[in-house]
Parts: sequence; C-alpha cells; structure tokens
Amino acid sequence: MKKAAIISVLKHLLLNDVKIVVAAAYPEGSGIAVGILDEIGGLAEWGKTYGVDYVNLGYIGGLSETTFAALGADIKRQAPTDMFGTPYEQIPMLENIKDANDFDSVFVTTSGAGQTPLYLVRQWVITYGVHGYMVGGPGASLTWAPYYPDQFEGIIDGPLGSATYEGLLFREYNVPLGEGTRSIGFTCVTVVMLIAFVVIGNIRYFWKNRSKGSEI
Amino acid sequence: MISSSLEIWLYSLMIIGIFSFFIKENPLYHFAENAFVSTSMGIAAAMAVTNIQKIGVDVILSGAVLIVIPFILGILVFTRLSNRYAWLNRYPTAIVMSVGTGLMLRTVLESGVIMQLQNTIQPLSLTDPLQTFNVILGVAIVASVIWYFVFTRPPKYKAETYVRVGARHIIMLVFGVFIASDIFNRVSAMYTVMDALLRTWLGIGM
Repeated sequence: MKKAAIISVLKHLLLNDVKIVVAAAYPEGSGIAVGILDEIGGLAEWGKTYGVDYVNLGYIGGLSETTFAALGADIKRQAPTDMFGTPYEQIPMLENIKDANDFDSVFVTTSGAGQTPLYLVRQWVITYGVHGYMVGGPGASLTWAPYYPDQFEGIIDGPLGSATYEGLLFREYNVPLGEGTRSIGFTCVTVVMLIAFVVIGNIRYFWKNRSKGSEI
Repeated sequence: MISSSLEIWLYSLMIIGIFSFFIKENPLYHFAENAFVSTSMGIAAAMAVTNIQKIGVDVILSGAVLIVIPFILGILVFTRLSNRYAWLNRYPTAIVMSVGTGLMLRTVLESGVIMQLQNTIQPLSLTDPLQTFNVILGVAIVASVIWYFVFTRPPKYKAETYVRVGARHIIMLVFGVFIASDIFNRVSAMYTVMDALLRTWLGIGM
C-alpha cells in the first residue's frame, strides 16, 4: 500500500507546485516512478512539464553510505544524465541544483526495514539539514519511531497512513479517494482475523500449559 | 469487464502462476519464478552497465583520468576467482569498508544516539500527568532493555531479576509487534495482488 501513499504524496507536491527530483536506490525504482506518474495521468494532467517541474534521475548505483554521501555532495557527478539520457546541463530545473543544500525536503520510500532510510538520514538530513520524511509500509512508524520527529518529520504508515493521507487530500483539495481508502475494508477484516488467531493461539497455549506453569 | 490489455493478461497469468505453488510445483510456477528473477537480474545488469558508462567511461573520456582508479579497484574484486591473486581483493574491500564506515561515523553518534536519547528523555510536565507518565515509562523501558543486553551476567539481587524479566517481556512485545507488522505488510501486498486480479483483469469491483 506504499504505492497509494506515494501517489498521494506526489499529488500533494504537484498541487503545491513543489519541484520534484526522483532518484532510485534500486534498479527497479526508476521504472516504478515512471509507472506511478502514468497512474496519476502524467505531468500534463497536473499542468506540469518534465524537466521544469519534475525530473527522474533514474537508478543511482551502489546502494551504500558512500553513494548517498556522494550524491549529497555533487548530484551531477552521480547522475550526469536523467533516466532518459538527457544531459544534466540541458534540464532547466537542475540549473541551480548542485548538491543536497539545494533541497528543502527528502522523501524516502522503502519496502522494508533496509538501510536506505538510514543512509539518507545520516548523509542528507543530519549532514545538510534537509527535512526528512518517510513513506513506509505497515509498521514503518514502529521501525522508524526513534527517528521521529527530529530526523523524519513525518512517517506515513501502511494502509491506514495511505487512507488518511487520501482523506486529507480529498478534504483540502477535493482529490478523489484512491487505492489506500479502497483497501481499508479488506485490511480491517484481515486485522480482525489476525487478532482472532492471536487470541485463539494464546488460549490454546495457556490451556496446553496450564499444569506446567509459564516460562518465557 | 475483462481487460483486453496484453500486459494485464500477462501479469495476471504470472500472479496465478506464482499462486499455483499452493497446490504443488508446476511448470507455470517455475516459468513465473524464473521470469521474475531473470527480469530483475537483467534490469540490474543493464542499469549497472549504463551507470559504468555514465559515471565512469564518459567521465574518463572527458579528461578526468583519476576515475580510472575506481575502475582498477573494481577489476581487483574479480581476483577472488583466482587462488593466486585473491589477496588483491582485500584492497578494494578495505577501501569500500573504511570509506563507508568513516562516512557513517561522521553522523551516527548524533543520529543514532544523541537525537534518540533527546527524544526519549523529554522534560517532565507538571500540568500534564499523562505526558509525565509516558516519559517515565519510556525512560524505564529503554533503561531496562539496555540493562538486559549490557549486564548479561546472572543477576545478584532480586531487583535485578525483576528488571530482567520486565525487559524480556518488553522485548517479546516488540518482536510480536514486528511480526504482526510483517503479516500486515503481506496482507497489504495481497490486497494489491487481488486488486490487480479482480478489478484490473476481471473488472470485478473491490
């Protein structure tokens, strides 16, 4: 359900005329970004132009602390062209973007509890004072709670976070609700089932061990 | 209405192929699995080659000859394939490890220790008892878990035993929440898959 949250964040940024630079830390990431943009109808649908309001730098190789540090120090050095091969100098939006100091905020999305968010926190948020935000799956707020609110100023957590964000966008900008909200019914039923199984499992455990005494 | 898009039909059949593993291993499952792995690898390889070209070869050709050093170090990684020259692999490994660790150490204390302690040890509030309770509880939980992992010797005093038992319960609770989150993550992915199959492919509303 991260996709629903990413779509909501993207719509919110586009509605507020925020310039967006996308970079992928995994090879599949740049393609996913293209797919997400298609899903919201493309930039033209939002009155934006590629290269002026939005740029996809593609996959930045070498997923490590060093890569994010190098990217923060010199964007052009790590991404001399965008995803489609257009040279950095020919992209109007990147004219005044040299390093992480030229960014106000960084949004990170990841499928699990990998190290990518930590690289960004350490090499962008702490080093350059860029505002950090996390768009994560279920449990993201638990995993990244120690980093809130100083290092991640906001965390969108799974289906509930996606649905809430969609609700806020609907209220503030009349943006139609999407997949996040649609999934809530499904998610609620599953959570009730999950709780029921946990209760059944515990009853069975204590029933089985009632004469032995408990030990953790 | 059933989709007429070839792309949607293809990924729907792939999903069914993966799910068919529930029954037993079969050629459709293997095809879907191999297609997924090989596509991922193919994309990764193509991206890697493009990156070498973009931030390596092109830069060297434009006159920055020092970039040839990382190239040499990269080639040295392959010396692992030879018993005689495998020792050369230590140089690129050492450089990558040391640079990464050095960069991490620059900020890890602030990011991983100081800022997190600041968030844990908040000022007590006389006007908000719940806030005060939360702060005290938070500090007690952090202190007891740290105690549990630092003092691994057998407890000498009764109070120490209580702290350890309490810490163990907290750790189990956190692990439980992590496992539940992981299940929730899978459920969320399952929704996406079912949505793709039922709504996008078969045109049935969800």
